Amino acid sequence: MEAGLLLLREFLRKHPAEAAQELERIPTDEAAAVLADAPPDEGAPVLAAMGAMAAAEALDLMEVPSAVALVCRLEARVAAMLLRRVTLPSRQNILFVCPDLWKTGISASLAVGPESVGAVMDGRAAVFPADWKVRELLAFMAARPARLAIDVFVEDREHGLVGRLDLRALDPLAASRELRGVMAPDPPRLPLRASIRAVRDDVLWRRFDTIPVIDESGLFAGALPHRALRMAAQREASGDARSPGGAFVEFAELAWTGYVAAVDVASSLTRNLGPTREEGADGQKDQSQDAG
Amino acid sequence: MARKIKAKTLARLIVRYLDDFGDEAAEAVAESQPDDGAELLGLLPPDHSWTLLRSLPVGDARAWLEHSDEETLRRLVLDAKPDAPPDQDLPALTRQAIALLTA
Repeated sequence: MEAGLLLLREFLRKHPAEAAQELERIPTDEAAAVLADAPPDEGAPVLAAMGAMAAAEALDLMEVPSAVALVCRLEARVAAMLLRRVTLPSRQNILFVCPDLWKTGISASLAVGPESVGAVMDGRAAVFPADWKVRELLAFMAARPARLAIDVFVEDREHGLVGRLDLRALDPLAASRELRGVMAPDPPRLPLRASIRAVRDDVLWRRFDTIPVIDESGLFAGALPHRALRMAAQREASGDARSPGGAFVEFAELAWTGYVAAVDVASSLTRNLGPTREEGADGQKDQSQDAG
Repeated sequence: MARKIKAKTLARLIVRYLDDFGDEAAEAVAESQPDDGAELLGLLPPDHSWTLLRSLPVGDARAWLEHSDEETLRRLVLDAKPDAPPDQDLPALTRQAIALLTA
């Protein structure tokens, strides 16, 4: 398949946007194989141009070194956006293997405070490119029943939020229309780092069960379901700040916040090999003080 | 172990490349060895194979056909000439494919 692979390479290298459109429409394991096989400098622009859901799924299916090679070559805000969407083990593996990612400030992009919208949102909310057709969206969802959603969001090719769809209200005759033609454009959105307290009583909740969330660079980051706020309120009322039953902070995000903190500490330790022992001792002391 | 790219996936992506950027794609494979070219013809749908062949210098396209297997040639011939006899042998298919190329 030498000539075939040569053509594939040319396609990926010269036309990443078109290649991305094709890759996000084939089975994800196949897309992952194509991206992992490509030289990372050529695969990364294709990955960045793919719809966020398909791109994150492909990363999840790749071997860690392949995923790392691609993610390390992405613009930091796009890397952060995709890392929010991959499964927690994938995220941890990628970040563990690729220390250079930390130099890009990605830890700051990914870490969210426990009282913020980002801590309770659904980071894997369904989002599709605006140029997808309704039938493509439905086929994608049908193949992933576990991720079936009623509220679906629409992104442009730069992963900016451009619309939303209520699948219950979709016209069955709209199957061949592009999402941009059937979506509600420019939907209200919440900032990733807004405090839960600040958004809890927003009038938007009278209109929506779920509100999309964007990060500081305007990229789609996830969606906040109202039930997450209700649970937060219950939790706050009970004063139960750390009970797993309260589920104030989704466990994965909580673990992630802790992981980010741990890696930041490790990073600062390795930067100064001399005082490592002292800093490590301080860290232990701090923990014991906290516990006390 | 890394997964290999399936032939069907490769064909789909190349078809998209040919549909959108046919001349550029033909230029990219113009220097390919006849064996590689023949293998590519076996991978692609026949209409795309003909598009690619007709974008190449005739000598190169002819060499690709001469190195193609019987099944590939039969698909190419039947695509271009549906009333062609289906039971031709390899030399006859090669001659007919070359004739269709230069017709």
